[in-house]
Amino acid sequence: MTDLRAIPTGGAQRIGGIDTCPPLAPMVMPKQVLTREAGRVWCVLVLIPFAWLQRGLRRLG
Amino acid sequence: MTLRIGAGRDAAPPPPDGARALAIAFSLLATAAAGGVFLVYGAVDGLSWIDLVRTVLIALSTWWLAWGAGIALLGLTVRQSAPPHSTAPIRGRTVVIVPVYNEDPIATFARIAAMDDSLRACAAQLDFAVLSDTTDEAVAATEGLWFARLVARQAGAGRIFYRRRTRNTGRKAGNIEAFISTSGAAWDYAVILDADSLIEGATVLEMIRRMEAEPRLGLLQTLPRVIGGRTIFGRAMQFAAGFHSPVFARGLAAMQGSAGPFWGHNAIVRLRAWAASCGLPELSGPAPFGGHILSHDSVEAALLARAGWAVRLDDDLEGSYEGGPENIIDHAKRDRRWCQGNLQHTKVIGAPGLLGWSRFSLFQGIFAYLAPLIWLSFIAASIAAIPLAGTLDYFPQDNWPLPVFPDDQTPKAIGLALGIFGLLVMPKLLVGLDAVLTGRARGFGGAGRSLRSMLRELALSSVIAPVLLAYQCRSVMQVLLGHDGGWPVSNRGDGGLRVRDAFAAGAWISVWGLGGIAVTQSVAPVLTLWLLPVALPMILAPALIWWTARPAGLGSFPVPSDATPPVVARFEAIVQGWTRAESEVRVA
Repeated sequence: MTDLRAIPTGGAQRIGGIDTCPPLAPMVMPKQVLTREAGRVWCVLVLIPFAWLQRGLRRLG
Repeated sequence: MTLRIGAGRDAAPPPPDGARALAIAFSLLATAAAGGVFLVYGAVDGLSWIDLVRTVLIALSTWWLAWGAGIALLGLTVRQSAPPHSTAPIRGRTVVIVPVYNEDPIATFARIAAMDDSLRACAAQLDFAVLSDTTDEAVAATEGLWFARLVARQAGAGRIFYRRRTRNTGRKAGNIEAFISTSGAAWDYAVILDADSLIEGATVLEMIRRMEAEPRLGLLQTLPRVIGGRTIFGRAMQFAAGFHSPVFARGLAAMQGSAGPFWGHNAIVRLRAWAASCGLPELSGPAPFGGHILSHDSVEAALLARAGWAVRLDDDLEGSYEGGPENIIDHAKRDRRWCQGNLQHTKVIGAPGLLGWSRFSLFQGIFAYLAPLIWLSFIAASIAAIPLAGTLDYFPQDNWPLPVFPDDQTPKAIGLALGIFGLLVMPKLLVGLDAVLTGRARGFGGAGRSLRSMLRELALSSVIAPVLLAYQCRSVMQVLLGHDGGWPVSNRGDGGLRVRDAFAAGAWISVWGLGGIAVTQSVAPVLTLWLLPVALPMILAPALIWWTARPAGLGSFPVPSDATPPVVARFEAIVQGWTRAESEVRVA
């Protein structure tokens, strides 16, 4: 692995003669989709617990 | 300190459907029983709409209590086998992230020095990144000063970093995201801490080993023990967190399996997974429901699980610590923030592709803040039911000279009250019994002292419960009415309160308590006595707030961390030294 500490930090902030900035090593963080799936929320809240219950009880049985 | 270490759990733990089903079945049975009994009780004088409302409210409240009790029972019965010990060499690179926001710089940097020392004692060296969102220029200047001192002390140039954002976009989650976006590729793992977190070096190394042993693992959460409690409230909460939380956490871990919880700190994440899955968007609409996601941790856990990564709580990892609020006011402030964040999840719960269990976890977080309102509504409906009830008709049949008396259903009502009380108290009593039987009580002063502490904590939490309920109800109403709570600075002082501060914070609760009693006495005097356990602590709220912020007696609520774990002792020594040095400089 490349030692990324060697990469210049660019516009480094210095305190007491120390380069304080973390190394420049970009990582893409795509924004996640959190748009509500309207109408399905209540189905999820009600149906899924019951489905678990049914499956779990069947396994136990 | 005892540290159980190993190489991670099974790569693919069995799905905990049976455990979940049992807990769900238990809570639903309790709900049905409570609702059924109350319906029979309410129907004595004829079933009215208010009886139906009260039945729904008591059933919902019972479900919530039974759900908590179910998790505790699971925690008491599930025994995870300790993973095998591993001393495998660590291959990946790790950075310890410490986001700060107007915190005390001496304490913050002393914690980093203590953790770095602890790692060195294990012959390891990790990188640290202090991510400052501090807005107070004076505090920021002091941060720079103490950072330079920290780097000099730890020989940390090029290894310990500090950067300060001028704009606090996205608050803590945005702070971490900005760091990962610009620097994340330099490391494989990040240990995410709070400013008041402390972790033993050996624990950090074990967390890394467990990440390396399980490539599917996206996030590993530890169970931090609360330390540093000094006041009656702080010590009691610290005891409760140390004594009860491990059992509840074990139940939660068994319940949630690989879609486990993330509490925002004292956890390690795989940066590749985090970067790909946890970029949080702004929610549409104005605050408090729109804007940046406040309680980001639960959402991040859900997003990791959505992307196929395991999120796991390893409750066996010890040596992980955090501070806690020292008084009711600080607790209520933190709770206000959490309340807004959790209620905001109503906009996230329907996100596409989330696992069902993740949605249920978000729902639990929301319900935790609706539960106090449900209790309050039940009390209000019960008071209103008295004047709304019709007069009993003892001669319902024409031409029948003898009176018809309704069945006495009082035993059912008492049985229901006892059942609900049992759901509240039984888990704690069982945890106490378990602690004695397994020898865990030794760390809490032995069987006798730990049980005494448990009963004292039970009494204290029962007395202050109505005060906390009042704060929670206010928080929920504020959020529902659209008030944004902002981003208040955490108070990490000694927790002591002046009488006038306690009065200012609690007087409104006294007024509501007195008002509640007055209304009950005028419309439903038969309930006045029943209401006293709730109303009296409310009336005495300022006194309770002040008294619980008083210093706890010596040896009060003993916990294992009183023996001062190595990293905590190191931190205290460094803080003392630095504080002394600073006062000498000031004097000079």
